[in-house]
Amino acid sequence: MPYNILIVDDSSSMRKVLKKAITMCNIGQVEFIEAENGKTALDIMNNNWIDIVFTDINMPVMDGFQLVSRLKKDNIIGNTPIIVITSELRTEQSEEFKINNIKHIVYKPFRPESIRELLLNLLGMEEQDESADGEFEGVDF
Amino acid sequence: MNQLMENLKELTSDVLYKMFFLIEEAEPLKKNFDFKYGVCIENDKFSIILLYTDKVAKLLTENFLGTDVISDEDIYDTLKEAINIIAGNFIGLHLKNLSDKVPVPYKIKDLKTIKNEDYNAKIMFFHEDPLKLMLKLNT
Repeated sequence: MPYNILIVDDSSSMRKVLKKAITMCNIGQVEFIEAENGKTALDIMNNNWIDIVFTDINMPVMDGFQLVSRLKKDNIIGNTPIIVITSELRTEQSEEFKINNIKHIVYKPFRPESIRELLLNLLGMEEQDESADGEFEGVDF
Repeated sequence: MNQLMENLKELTSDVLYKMFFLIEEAEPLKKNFDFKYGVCIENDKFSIILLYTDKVAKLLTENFLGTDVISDEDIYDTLKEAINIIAGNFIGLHLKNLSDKVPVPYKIKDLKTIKNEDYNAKIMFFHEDPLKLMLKLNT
């Protein structure tokens, strides 16, 4: 069974780059589903099984914090692991991270290794072999 | 302001290197350039603009997306992502008192509408072409 990974970002370029970074993680077969804001993501999650959500914060219509807040209130999909990808380093937002109990954060600019570490951890997988590490040599995003 | 501009330049150099594979260079001999693409992030207290030549905008987009088949939409989408990352880091490190949220970036449709005299500016070079950083604080 492939992992269903939902990528929520209003930038199609960032969605493409995230798909590339996740694919490079060698976690097995992955089915990518994309949404350009939190509202579309919620609609998708109400109709599809999602293993992990990657979400941006700063989006129109419904931002990442609103998405997480709505998800946490849902008994069925509320336990889906969420990884927030953000360039915002402000302490005010850290409070919002705490309020929403967001534990997994990747700050932009990021390296693919940080994505892989989180994915392996969330999926309960261990580092496979050295060849997987080699995939990332000299690679930034 | 000079220190802020220097910080913005350093941060831009770091982001463009880490996520867009562009390495800043020394100023080339060629002096005449046309800026074709512009993106902006602003609120009522600050404004950050990045202006790109055709060459730098395309290189940045191609590097980010990993393809040389790109559209104008791809370019603007990528340039908006770049300024979002730069501004997000810059606000968090240096302008915390001026903004509690990173505004949504937008495309500047007509570069002639920019009032250069209102901004502090720095030029950076990539592949012998410039990128212009512009910063205005309304305080």
